[in-house]
Amino acid sequence: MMTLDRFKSLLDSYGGRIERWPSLTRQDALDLLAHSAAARELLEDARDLDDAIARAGEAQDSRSWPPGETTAAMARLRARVSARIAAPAPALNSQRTEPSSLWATLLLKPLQPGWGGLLTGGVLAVAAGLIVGMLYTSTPPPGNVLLLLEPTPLQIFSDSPR
Amino acid sequence: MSRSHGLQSTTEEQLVAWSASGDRRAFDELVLRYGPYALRVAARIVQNRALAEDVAQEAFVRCWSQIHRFDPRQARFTTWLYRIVVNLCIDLKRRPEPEPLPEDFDRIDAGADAEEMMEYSERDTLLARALSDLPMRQRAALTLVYDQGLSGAEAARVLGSTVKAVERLLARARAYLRIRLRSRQPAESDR
Repeated sequence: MMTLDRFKSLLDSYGGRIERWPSLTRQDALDLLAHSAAARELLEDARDLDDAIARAGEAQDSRSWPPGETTAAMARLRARVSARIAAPAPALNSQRTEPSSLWATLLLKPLQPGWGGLLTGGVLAVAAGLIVGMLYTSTPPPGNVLLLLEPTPLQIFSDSPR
Repeated sequence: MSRSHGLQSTTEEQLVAWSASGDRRAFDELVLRYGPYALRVAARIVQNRALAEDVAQEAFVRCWSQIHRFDPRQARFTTWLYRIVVNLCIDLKRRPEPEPLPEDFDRIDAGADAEEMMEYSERDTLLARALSDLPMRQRAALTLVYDQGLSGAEAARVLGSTVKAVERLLARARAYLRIRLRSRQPAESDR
């Protein structure tokens, strides 16, 4: 059994035409209407607003599409859509050739957006770092290089005169 | 069914399937069949005839480019079309001012009872303005359910939302319209 509160809640959303209501609620609503004067009063009030909304919508439509204008608007729509879709068909668009491997993707589409772009950027940055490092690294000096890395004794503990 | 037969009697599913295979004539029949709905829904939401035509045109072009991905077993073509139309309307970055109401807006029928018609006309004009002031999603929900006859569940699919959310949009829209309507009505004691 539908409560009056539930009835009012549905009325507030769907208005007074019960056929708009969710199908599972319609019979319960009709049952409530059959024995509740309060429900009938709410329904009548909602239908007044429905009628006003419908008339306002129709008035807007007749303003947007005066007689004859709908036909003209449809003719324009068909012509413009036809012209725009005269380009390749969707079936052909979906058969674009894609690079088959990761390397091909990286090389052919280096500026692609998203994760692909991030991956490409990362690989290129690492590669550039390796190349720069190899170019600017000098050859090791002769002799015992490890001596250079030993700490120099602090002067204050040194026995040697200044 | 042979494609040489008239397209007017062809089912929506068949037209969609032929369009997906690149048949532009079949797609033109879909435009012819559902174009008026797309134009009307767009006009109600954006409140501007030129913009509504742009939206409808763009919606059909998008339909064409994606129709090979559309599965008629999952949804009706109109639900999909409405979804594209509504999303395009909502995506319009700058909302232009609605076209001003013309002087002869909702002209009174001379044959009808003058006082009654004057009252109706005033209410309709007032409510038409109130409809224009509604937020876009409320206007979309109202158009889809009240004007196009979609169920709450269908409207929810179009709006990418839930049935409860659609019901809230409708309730807020109705409450606003009711307040606007009552705010201009003279009290009984004033009459």
